[in-house]
Amino acid sequence: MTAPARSSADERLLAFRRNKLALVGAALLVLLVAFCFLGPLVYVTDQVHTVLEAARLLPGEQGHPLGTDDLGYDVLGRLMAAGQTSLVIGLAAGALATVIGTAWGAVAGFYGGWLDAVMMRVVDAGIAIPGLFLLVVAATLVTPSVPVLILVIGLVSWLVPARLMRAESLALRSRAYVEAMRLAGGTGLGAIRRHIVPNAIGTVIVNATFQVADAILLVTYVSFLGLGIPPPAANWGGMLSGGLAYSYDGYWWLIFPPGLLIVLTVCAFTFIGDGLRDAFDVRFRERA
Amino acid sequence: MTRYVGVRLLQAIVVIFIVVLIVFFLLHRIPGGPARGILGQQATQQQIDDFNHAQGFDLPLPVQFGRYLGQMVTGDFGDSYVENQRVGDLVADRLPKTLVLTGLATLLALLVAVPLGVFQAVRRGRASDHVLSMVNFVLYSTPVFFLGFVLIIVFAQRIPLFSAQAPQGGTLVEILSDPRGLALPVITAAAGMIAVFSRYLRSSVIDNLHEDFVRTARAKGASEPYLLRKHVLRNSLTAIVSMIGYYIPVAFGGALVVEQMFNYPGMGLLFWNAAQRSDFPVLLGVVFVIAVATVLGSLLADIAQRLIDPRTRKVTP
Amino acid sequence: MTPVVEFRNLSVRFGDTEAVSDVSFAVEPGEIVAIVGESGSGKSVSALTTLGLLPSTAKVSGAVSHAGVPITSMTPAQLRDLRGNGIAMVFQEPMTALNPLLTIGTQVAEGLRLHRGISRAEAAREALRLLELVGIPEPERRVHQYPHELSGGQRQRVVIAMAVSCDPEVIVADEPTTALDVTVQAEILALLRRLRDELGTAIVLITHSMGVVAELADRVIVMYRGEVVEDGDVFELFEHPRHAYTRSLLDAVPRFTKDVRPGPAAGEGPAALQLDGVVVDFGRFRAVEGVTLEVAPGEILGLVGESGSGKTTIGRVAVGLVRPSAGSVRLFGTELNGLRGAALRTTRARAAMVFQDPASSLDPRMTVGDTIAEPMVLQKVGDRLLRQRRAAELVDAVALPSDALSRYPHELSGGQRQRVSIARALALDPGLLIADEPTSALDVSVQATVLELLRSLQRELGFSCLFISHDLAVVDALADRVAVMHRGAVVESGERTAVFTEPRDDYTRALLAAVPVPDPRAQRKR
Repeated sequence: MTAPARSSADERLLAFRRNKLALVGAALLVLLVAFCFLGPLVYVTDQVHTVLEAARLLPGEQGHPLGTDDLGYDVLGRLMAAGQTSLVIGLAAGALATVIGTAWGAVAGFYGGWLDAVMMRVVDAGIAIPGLFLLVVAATLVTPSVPVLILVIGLVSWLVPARLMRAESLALRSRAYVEAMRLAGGTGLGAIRRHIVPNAIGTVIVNATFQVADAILLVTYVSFLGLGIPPPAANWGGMLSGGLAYSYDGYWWLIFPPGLLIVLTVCAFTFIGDGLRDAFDVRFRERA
Repeated sequence: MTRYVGVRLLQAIVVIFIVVLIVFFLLHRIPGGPARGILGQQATQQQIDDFNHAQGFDLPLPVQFGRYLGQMVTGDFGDSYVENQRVGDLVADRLPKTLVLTGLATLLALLVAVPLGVFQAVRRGRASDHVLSMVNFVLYSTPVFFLGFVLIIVFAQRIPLFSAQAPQGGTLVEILSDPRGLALPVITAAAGMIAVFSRYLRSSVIDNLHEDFVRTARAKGASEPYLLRKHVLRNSLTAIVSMIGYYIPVAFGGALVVEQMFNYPGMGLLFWNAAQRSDFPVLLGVVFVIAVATVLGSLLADIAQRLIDPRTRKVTP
Repeated sequence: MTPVVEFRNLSVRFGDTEAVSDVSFAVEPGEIVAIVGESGSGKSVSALTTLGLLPSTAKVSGAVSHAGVPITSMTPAQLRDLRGNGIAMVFQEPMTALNPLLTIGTQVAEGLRLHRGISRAEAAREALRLLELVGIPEPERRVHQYPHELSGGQRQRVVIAMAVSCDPEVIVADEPTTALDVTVQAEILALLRRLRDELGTAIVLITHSMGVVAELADRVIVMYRGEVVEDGDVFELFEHPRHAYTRSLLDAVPRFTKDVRPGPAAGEGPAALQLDGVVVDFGRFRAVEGVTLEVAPGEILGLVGESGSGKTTIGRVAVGLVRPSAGSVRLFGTELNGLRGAALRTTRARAAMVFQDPASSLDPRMTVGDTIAEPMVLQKVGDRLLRQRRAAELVDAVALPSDALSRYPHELSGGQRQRVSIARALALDPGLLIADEPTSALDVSVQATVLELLRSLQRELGFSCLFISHDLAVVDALADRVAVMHRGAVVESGERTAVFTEPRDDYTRALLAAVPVPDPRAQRKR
C-alpha cells in the first residue's frame, strides 16, 4: 500500500483539530493574549506609581478585584502588564532560538564531515552548561532588561533545535530531489534554502512552540533567583516569586494568580506543540 | 566498540575544551575584570595593575588561556572572592550532595514514569491516556518553585508529613538519615522528570509496538503482556538510557532552583549564593564542574546504550 | 477432506474503501495456493485476516475458517492459540521481522515455548533442529547470534524456521522473496517447496510476481481491486488465462527475447561516459574495485547486479555525487576528478538522473510544474514564461495530463511520479541519462508503461543512457549493451543478446538461471 508522502495543508489542519488538547491550547492562547494586550484597554490601572497606603489589600477591597501587592499596585492590572512582558520575551526568545538553531543545524547536517563535527561539538559544549546557570552568570554581568533577556535566553536555547535540525538535514540531504537539484547545478546553500528547511518545517515549528514554553519558564526561574527585570517593570515570574516571599503570611492572591497564569500559558504552548506534532507527523496519523 | 569509545572520548575532550573556552570568555566579561572583583571598587589603578601583573592578566590572551586551561584541567579553580576557601574544596564538598539529590529524583522519576508511560502507550487514544497526558503537560508547565510551594503547603503545613526544610547536615550520611527533610526536595525535582520521561517512554513504546518484529511475535501467538515484557520494553530500555543522558543538564538546572527553594546545601545553592555576591571564581568553577559532569554522564549513557544493543556490542563475522 | 483455510464471502472495509469484497476460496491440506495481484488488490489484507491481525479499524463480514472453525469470531485467547500453531506467517521484510535484541535461537523457539511450554534446554535443542531443517549452515553457531549478524536470505530462513516450528497446517507467506536478490529468491522458493513436500504444510503465497507463481504454486487466485477475478490450476491459468486482467499481468512481465532490435543510431563525438579503473572505498569497505566501462553516444547500457554489487555507486560516481578513490571519470570527454564549484556544476548538468524511490524523488512541497522547471531556474535558462512553456511540453512528452503541472506529488500515483522524475531529468536536454532502478518500486503493469516511455523518449531525443537495475528482464527489454557487476567488479559485458543467451562468466550464468520466468512448465524442469 502506498501512502502519500505528505498530506496537504487541509489534512494537517484536520489532524490538528482532531487533537482536542491542541484546540484547548489554541483557545487558551487566544484568551491569554486578549487578557494581556486588550485587557488594559478595558481595565485601566496605574502600574508605575506605588501607593504604599493601599498595599496588600484583600481581593475586592477598594475596587481592586484581585487586591493589591506590597507596593500598592493593583494585582489584576499588574497581571495584564506582566503578561505582556512574559509573552513578548517568550515568543521573541523562542523565535530567536529557533532561527539560530535551524540555520546552524541545517548547515552542519547538510555539509557533514569536519564542519559538522566542529559545529556539533560546539552544540555539545553549550548543552553541557545548563541554560539556567549561564543565564544567572549573564545576569550578574549585565543588568537584565527585556531585550537583554530575549537575547540571552535566545542564545542559551538554540542548541536543542540545532540538534533536531541537524538530524533532519542529515536525513533530507540524501533525498533524491535534493540530489537531482545538485546535479542540475544547484549549490549547497541553495539546496538548504529550497528543499531542506522547507521540508523540515514541521519539526521546526513543533519545536518552536516548545521553545516558547521553555523560554517563559526560564524567565520565571531567573526572576525566582532574584535576577529578573528590576521594578517597576513586571513579569509573571517576578510577581510569583515576589508573592512567595509572603507565602507564610496568607497573601494567597499574590501567589496563585500569577502562578496559574504561568501554568496556563506554558500549557497552552505545549498543547499546541503536541497537536502540531500530530498534524505534521505522517507516521502517527497513519497509525491513529 | 573500543574504537567507538576512543572516538567518543576524543569528542568529550574537545567538548570540554570548548567549555573552558566559553568559561574563559565569561571570566573576561566580568565588569572591570577580575581585579575589581577581588579588590573592590575603592582599589587604585596601581593596585589593580599590580594585581593583574601578579596574576598574569597582563599577558597575551592565548597565553592566559593556556594557563587557565592548565588550571581547570588540574582542578585548580582559584580562591573564592568571598569565603576564605579554595573553589575546588567548596565544590568537592557540595557536588556529592547535589548528585544524591538528583540521583534520588531520577530514580523516583523512573519508578513512576516507566509504568505510567507504558500504561499510556497501551491505552493510547482512550480517555485514561488523554487525562494522563493532560496531567503530564500541567506538571511540565508548572514552575518548579511554584510546585515546591504547593507541596510545602499541602505536605508540610496542612498535613505535616514531611519537613519544609531540607536536611542541613554536613555529611552525606547526615543528609540521607533525614528522609522527612529529603522527601519534598526529591519529589519536587522529580516532578518535571516524570512528565518528560513518561512522555518519552510513551512514544517509544508506541513506536516499538508497531515494529515488524512485534507483529512477527504476535503472529506466533504471543499475548500482549508477553509482547510488552519480552519485545517492547527491552527495546525501549535503550531509549530510556539515552534519555537520561540527555536529561543530565536539565536535572542540574532543576537542582539549582530546588536547592535554593529548600535551602539544600548542594552545588545549586553554592552557585546561587555566589551569584548574589558576584563571587566569579565560584560561579565559573561550578559551571565548569557541571559541564564536565554532563559530558561524562552522556558519554557513559552512550556507552551503556551500545553495550545493551547487540548490534553495537560485538562484531562476529 | 476439510480445507485447512476457507474464505467464505469475505469482505473487509476500511472506512469508505472496500479493501476486499466477497472473496471465497479454499486451501486444501498440502496445497500451495498463490494469491496474485498488484498493490491495493487486497491480497495482503486477505492474508492478515487469516491470523486475525487486521487493525481494529477494519470492518469484516463473511468468514475465514481454519479447519472448519471460523477465525473471524474467535476470542483473543483462541486466536493466540491459532497463531503460529495452526496458521503461521512469513512476512516480506526479513531485515525488520526479527527482534534485534534477542538471539536467533530464542526467537526460533519462541513459538514452541509459547504453545508447548517446553523447557529452555528443550527449546535450545529444537531451535538447532529447526535451523538445520531450513538449511542454515553452522546452526550451532547461529543460534547464539543476533539478527544483524545474518544476511537477508539467512534471516528469511530463520523466519521460515519460526513459521514451521509448531508444525502448522498452513503457512501464509506475504511476499516472502520480494526484498531478496534473485539468486537468494530462488533458494528460498526451493526451500518452501521442500518444506511442503517434507512436512505436508499447505502454503498460501501472496505475491505480485508471476515468475514466483510459476515456480511454486499449484493453484492461482488472481485478485484485482479487492475481488477474485480468476481462480485455477497454475498450468491451465498460464496457458489459457480467461480474465483480461490476468492476461495483462502476464503480458506485463518482461521476458527474455532473442529478437534483435535495431541498434543505436551511431552517435558522434566522445563517449557520453567513460570510467577507467574506478575504485571507490567507503571507510574500510571497498564498494567498487577497478571498474572500466563506457557509454557510447546514443546507446543504452544496462548495468546489472544484485544488492551490494556496487552498481548504484557507479551511477553516483558518474555524476560526481561520489568521488572515486582512484581511476578516472570522464563525462563527454571532461575529467570530473578535481573539478569543483561552478566548473563541476556546469559539467554535470549535462547528465541527469532518475532515482528509484518514487516516494522520495520529488519534493513534497513543490508542484510538478516547479519541480520540472527547477533545473532551468538553476541554470538560468530562459525567462519564467519560457520555462513554463517548456515544463508544459515535458509533461506532455511523458504522457501526463497538462493539469498535472499544478499538482503536488502526493496527489500522484507512483508511476506518475516517476514520469515527473523523467520530465525533470530531461528539462536541460541532457546528453546522458542515468536511471537507477527507476521501475523497481512500481507494479508490473505500471513498470511496463514507464519502460516503454523511456525507450520511446530515448529513440526520439537520442540521449545516452546508463540503466541500472537488478532485474535482468527489465534490462533485457531496454538495453543495447549489458555490463554485469558482482562484488564491485564488472564480470562480463557485451551486446545484450550475447550476454543473455551465451553468458561466458559463471556468475552471469547463475544469475540468469535464478530468474523466475513466467512459465510453470519451464520452471518445474529446472
